[in-house]
Amino acid sequence: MKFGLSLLLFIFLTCNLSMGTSQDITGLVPAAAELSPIIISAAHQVYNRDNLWEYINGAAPAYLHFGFQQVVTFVVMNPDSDEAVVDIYDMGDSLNAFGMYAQEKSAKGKPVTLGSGAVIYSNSLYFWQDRYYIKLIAYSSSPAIASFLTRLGGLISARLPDRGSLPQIFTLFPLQERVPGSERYYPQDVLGQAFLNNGYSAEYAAGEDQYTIFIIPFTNGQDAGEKYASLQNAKSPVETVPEVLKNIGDAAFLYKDSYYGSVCFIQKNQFITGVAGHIQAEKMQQIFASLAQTIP
Amino acid sequence: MKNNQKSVYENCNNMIKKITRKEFLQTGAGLAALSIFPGALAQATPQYRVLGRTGLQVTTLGFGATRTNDPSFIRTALDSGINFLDTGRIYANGQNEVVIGNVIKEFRKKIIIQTKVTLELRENGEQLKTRPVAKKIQAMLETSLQESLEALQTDYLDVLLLHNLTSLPLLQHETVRSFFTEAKKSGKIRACGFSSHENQAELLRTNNSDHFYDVVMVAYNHRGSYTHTQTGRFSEWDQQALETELQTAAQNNIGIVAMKTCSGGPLSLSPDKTPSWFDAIQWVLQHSYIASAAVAMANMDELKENSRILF
Repeated sequence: MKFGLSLLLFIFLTCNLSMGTSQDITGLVPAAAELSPIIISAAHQVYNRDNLWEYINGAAPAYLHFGFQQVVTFVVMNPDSDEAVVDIYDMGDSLNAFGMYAQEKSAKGKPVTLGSGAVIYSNSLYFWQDRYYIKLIAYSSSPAIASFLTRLGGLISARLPDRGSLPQIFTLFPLQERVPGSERYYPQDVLGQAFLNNGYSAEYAAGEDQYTIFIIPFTNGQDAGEKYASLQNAKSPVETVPEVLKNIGDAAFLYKDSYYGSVCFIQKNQFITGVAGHIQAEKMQQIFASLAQTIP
Repeated sequence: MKNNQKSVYENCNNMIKKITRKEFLQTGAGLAALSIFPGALAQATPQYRVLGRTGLQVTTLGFGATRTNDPSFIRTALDSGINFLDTGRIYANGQNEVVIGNVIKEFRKKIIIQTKVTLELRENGEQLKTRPVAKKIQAMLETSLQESLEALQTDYLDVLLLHNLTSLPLLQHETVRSFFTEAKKSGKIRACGFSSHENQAELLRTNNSDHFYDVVMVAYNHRGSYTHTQTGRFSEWDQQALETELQTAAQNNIGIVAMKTCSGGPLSLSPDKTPSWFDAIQWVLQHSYIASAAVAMANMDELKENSRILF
């Protein structure tokens, strides 16, 4: 019974809002009448898992990592002869679409309301919606091109299925101090460990303190426990955890990471939760206290 | 991350059971680290080779960053002794360079960074010679270089490659060559080159005749072909023709970086050994004309296996 509830919770928290089989992705290319006065200046091409490399070369492994299925790409031109390349990537499900979008999004982008999440840059617009990750890239930049991309993005969004939202698991991350738009999903190799899959993180900032919270859900406590033991074995925990961190969990362990500074993990039921950053033990204790309120 | 405050770890530094990356110690591979982080437990010296006329001393194992955006993992790879990072402007839409920039900013000068500029052009052949296209190429190159410098938080790149070059007209393009010449003069790049998966021998032959590019990055492994580990895509080349050109390139003092080194599958270099990725990389490095094998890695298992090659 307990196992069943855990499994249901896992599915709820990590569920993909959209999953499905490959379809004819060319159906997502807007029709000429919809686009007018924009025209398609280079006909669409489709690439799949076998030949994505021919289109984006060394960038392909990251897409495959996030479940890439196929992409349709075409070029459009507005009446001012500004051109933009449109790529509609089918990532297999909405979790992967979100993950890929989040990985490629830079802090320089300005969030805009489109699909399930979107950012616009000087000459490009990226968004995700349902199981799709969409990139619109113009060859030059100007306010007119920004509005051209926005209109184009709207046309494509209108042809896609329901919008979806940030994966449910992010409701477990504290809201306080969270950096907007910093949520990430890792389908594999969480923290560089081959045995850790399907991890999530978010960045936090409070004054000079910057830290990252990781949550890795499992289907049940036993699975989480085994992976937690593997994680402890892979790292070199400090022998004595500071007093203030002793009450955050039964088997909290702390290790030094060359990049993150201090990293502390606990296991609670079917979750492994971690906090990483150059922060004081007292601050880390506060963060775990906050997580204790949300992690079931 | 700020570093001016004592961290939790530092507060209990004297309680550390072992140094980090204990498994590296166990394999004997790690913690040699230390040309990069001198004084930090350095016990062994990684193997370096000179990258042709650039004079850059690169570790025989390079870190191909295309499969990870995890800063902690990239830092661990550097801790293991690797000093040569291979990335590209298009990897993760530039975010791969951003992550690397965050990791290396405090010890930039100890790391050799190779990145790549992609020329996304629909034009080819004679069209490339027209003035509007030349202008577009110039703009793409300048923008990409500037973006790479910003993302990597540096004022120079060690090596900038034309990414995935397939055609001779681009290799020989006047605008491309003048861009690289100027970028070197200005100190924004130390060396230029190209990467190629197709038509490699012909591109190398051309460079062997005029010696313009300092560095070449080619697909090279024991099988003379590769099946992409993730796409399953198969590609092959004339191994003998490639090796002839690589030897000539080395004689011309062109730096050579190998990629797709594991994509020919595991190999056994002696009959009593089980085929391994380690031997596949070792086979590539047995050829003295290869300065470094840039191997894409995504997790500690792969890093542990491959980094044994460093020592």
